[in-house]
Amino acid sequence: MSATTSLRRGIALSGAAVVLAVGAGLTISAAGADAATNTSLAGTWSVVVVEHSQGGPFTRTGTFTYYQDGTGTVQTSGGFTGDLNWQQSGGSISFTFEHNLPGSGLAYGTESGTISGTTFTSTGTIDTFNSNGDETDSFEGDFTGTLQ
Amino acid sequence: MRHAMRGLLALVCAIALSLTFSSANARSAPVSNAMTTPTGTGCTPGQIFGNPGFETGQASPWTTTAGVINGNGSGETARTGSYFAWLDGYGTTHTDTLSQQVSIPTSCHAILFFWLHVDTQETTTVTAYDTLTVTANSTTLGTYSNLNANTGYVEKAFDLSSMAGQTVTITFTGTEDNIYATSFVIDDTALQLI
Repeated sequence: MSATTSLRRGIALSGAAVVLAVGAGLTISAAGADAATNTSLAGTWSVVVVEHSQGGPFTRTGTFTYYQDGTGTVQTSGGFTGDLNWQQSGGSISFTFEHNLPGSGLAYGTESGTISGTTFTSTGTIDTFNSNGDETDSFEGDFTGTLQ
Repeated sequence: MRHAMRGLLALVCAIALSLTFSSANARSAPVSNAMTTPTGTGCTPGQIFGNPGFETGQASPWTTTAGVINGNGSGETARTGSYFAWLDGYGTTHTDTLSQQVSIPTSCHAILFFWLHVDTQETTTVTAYDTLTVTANSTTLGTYSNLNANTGYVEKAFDLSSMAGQTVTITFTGTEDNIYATSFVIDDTALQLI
């Protein structure tokens, strides 16, 4: 083996090693960035809702499922069920929901917030109505969601 | 020369491998939750009333009796914008109607919203002489009267989800007796699909 050939082999191997290292670095960086910032709201989330209603803060739990087509379903503690629709742009989310209340009343809420990884938070307004259509309360609702 | 070619081959393979991994992660990571989530109900959400706040200044696509659509300066004031629907307020035997037909898709939940202001010359606190009835087809959703007189607008809401898959006519009917006017003023309606 000549000295020239040995030098060329050394340069080639070193170049390949550098490319492999850079490529691996880029791959890890890209995967990490995706996991941290690009999580979709589509999925099933355990939610905790803090309702700042007239009687003081009240905490309710529930399960919100966000379907890929922008629709979804709502289940809250107390056995109330309903539907939702949602939108997402990057890390910003918004959703509107309704669910039944005792005596054919309903709750209607609009929320907006942010999502990162397996957590979202949002704030908005929840209005409740009785079976006569009369508004019985209107209060701020703060959501924290954890991906199931 | 052969060693140089082998080095070049290693370089190309490394780049290809790197690009493959990067590309795979870029495609799959953002939709990882969605992959296990059902497609959805198929409902296209949104508000489906035409001219919901009467801001065209015309009735269409609402069907009304004469003189129902009014603007600010006419004796009542819109909750938002410049126009509203004003039923009754004559102080004589009179009936006004306001209605619109919509189709509620099978896949959707639906909620009827509207804002109502009532003022009256009636002085009773026990007798409903003048009434406003809200119906969806033949189903009565709510009834209001001179007893519901208030200084501002209040919001009303009804769940119409049981009517999904049907064509529904929402009708407001104001009925006034022969003396003492009661005005039923409606603004900012919405039939929200969820």
